Amino acid sequence: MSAIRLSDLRVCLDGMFPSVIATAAPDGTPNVSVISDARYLDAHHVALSYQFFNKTRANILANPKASLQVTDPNTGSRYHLAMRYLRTETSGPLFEAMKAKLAGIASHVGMGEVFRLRGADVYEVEDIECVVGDVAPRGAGEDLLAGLRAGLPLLRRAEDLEDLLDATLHALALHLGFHHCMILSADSARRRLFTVASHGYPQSGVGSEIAFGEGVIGVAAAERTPVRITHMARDYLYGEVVRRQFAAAHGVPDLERRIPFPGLAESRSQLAVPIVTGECLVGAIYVEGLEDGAITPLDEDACVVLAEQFADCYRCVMHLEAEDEEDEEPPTDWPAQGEPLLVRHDAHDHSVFVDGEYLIKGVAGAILWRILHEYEDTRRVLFTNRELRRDPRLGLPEIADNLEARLVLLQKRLDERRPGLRLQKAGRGRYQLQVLRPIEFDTAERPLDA
Amino acid sequence: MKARHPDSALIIATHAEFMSSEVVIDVSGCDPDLTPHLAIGWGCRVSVPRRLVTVFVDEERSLPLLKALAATRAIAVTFGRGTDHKCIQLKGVDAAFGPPGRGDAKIMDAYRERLAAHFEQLGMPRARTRVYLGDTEAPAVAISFTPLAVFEQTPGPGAGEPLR
Repeated sequence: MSAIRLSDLRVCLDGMFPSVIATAAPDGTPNVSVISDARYLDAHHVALSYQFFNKTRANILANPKASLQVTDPNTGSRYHLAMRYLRTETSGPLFEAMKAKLAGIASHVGMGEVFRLRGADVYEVEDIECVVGDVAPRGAGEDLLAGLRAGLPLLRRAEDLEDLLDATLHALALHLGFHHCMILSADSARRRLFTVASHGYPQSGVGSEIAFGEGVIGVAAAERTPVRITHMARDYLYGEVVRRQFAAAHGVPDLERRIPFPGLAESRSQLAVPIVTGECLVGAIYVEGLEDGAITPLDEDACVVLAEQFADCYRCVMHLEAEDEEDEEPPTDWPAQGEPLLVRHDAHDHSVFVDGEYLIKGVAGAILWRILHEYEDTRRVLFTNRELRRDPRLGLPEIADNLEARLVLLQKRLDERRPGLRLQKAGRGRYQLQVLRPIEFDTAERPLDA
Repeated sequence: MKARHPDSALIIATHAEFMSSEVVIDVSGCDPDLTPHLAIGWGCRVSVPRRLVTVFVDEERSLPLLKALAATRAIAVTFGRGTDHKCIQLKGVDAAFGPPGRGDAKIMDAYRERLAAHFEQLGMPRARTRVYLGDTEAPAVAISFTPLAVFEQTPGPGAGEPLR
């Protein structure tokens, strides 16, 4: 094995230059082919995507020797990897990760059903030669390590979910250098994710939703694996080309409706990392950049570590939130005055409108409708997570209800929209409603009646 | 691939313009023990009357490939365009190489300039393209072969199908 480490070439495997593989048939006929997705596995192995049964596929099954050419997008240096085909994986984490990236691309070009991965071909790398240019300098991850070292303690100090979300965004933006990032919470029962915190966008987007399986974020959540797209133009162009080729061959004019990119309209690099505790999907961290190649394999490593830390801290704060504080703080008295707020509720999806403006829907909407009526009936303003969790009318799932995320979402929406209502944390596991103007319900509908 | 394709002139004529444009050229051959080798091309010359395709490579950086071609003469060359992924592959069994001919230096210079301009449009600085192509002052080798078949290599379900 040469002195060049395979780990030094990770950036080459997803650069703007597609990797090229040469193989040979048993009769000695060579073949050259472009690889759509090459992935670093460990110090001695790479995986290549297997989408279509072609000559490369036939060759490696008969003769495992292959040569892979990769190019460093930052320097132009070219490397040749002498490889030996070992096996094809059609299930498991590697396959799911490669499938998820392909699905992330496919969902954007409307090819979700036909643009699929058949397998992940695993090769042992026997030798690496730098054919032209200089070998990539080592130690490129030092800044990220320092960033993680500075950022992770912020998460561990969080006392509630809102703290944890703020600390995570702070770590992403300040210590890891992701200037556009968001955190989404999973609603597994509805198979959707909703944004609970964001940084670096003109609109916070809090409350916006994306379905499992849609785009980079939805696919990362559905498959529970990170999905990173580093060269948007190249990757999506590749998808478009396959779509056109498929349509030309099969006469399918329009396969699916396109799905718009989340976040930045001019996004060029994207990474979504699922947040998982045990068997439960909590949500996802999403970062994006304005330049091709802005998000590297090392950035992915850092975000995966951050998501793991988030998951651990999430378990801790949920445990704390489940316990009411012993000392009950007296509620602050907020005199409601001025013109009444006209509040309307649509029982179909629990949408709540204030003075005709849409505010929120779903479980968060049901919670708001419930506590507003409670306030009207009894002037009560303090509510505990525990009582909300036990209220069957809110429609929370029995497992992984994500109640705290929904309360943070409601709190942020009220802060953003300023409809004359506020929700504030009032100690552990407890929220206080602040009603700044009198309330008037525009129907006789009672809270969450059947 | 044993029999000579009767339409090789037609094949070359149909695709000559594309092969001589701003495409990335990847050349492959394999040792008698079936170990494949790769090199990038420095341009292409097409001779329709003689049914010959010639690609140029950097001699010093292509020694394993040249050794393989000398031993087996079997060759595969892809021509791929970055902007739309259009790609074709030519195969032959009579590869032979030698010094570039008179006028080939101009073909190589023009090719490098076209490719650098093309990559620049895709966001790649010219300095990086120079590294990618290697030392342009280095000796080049001209590899010529008669294409027996052309294959579609554009990504998709039709990749690998023979073209006419």
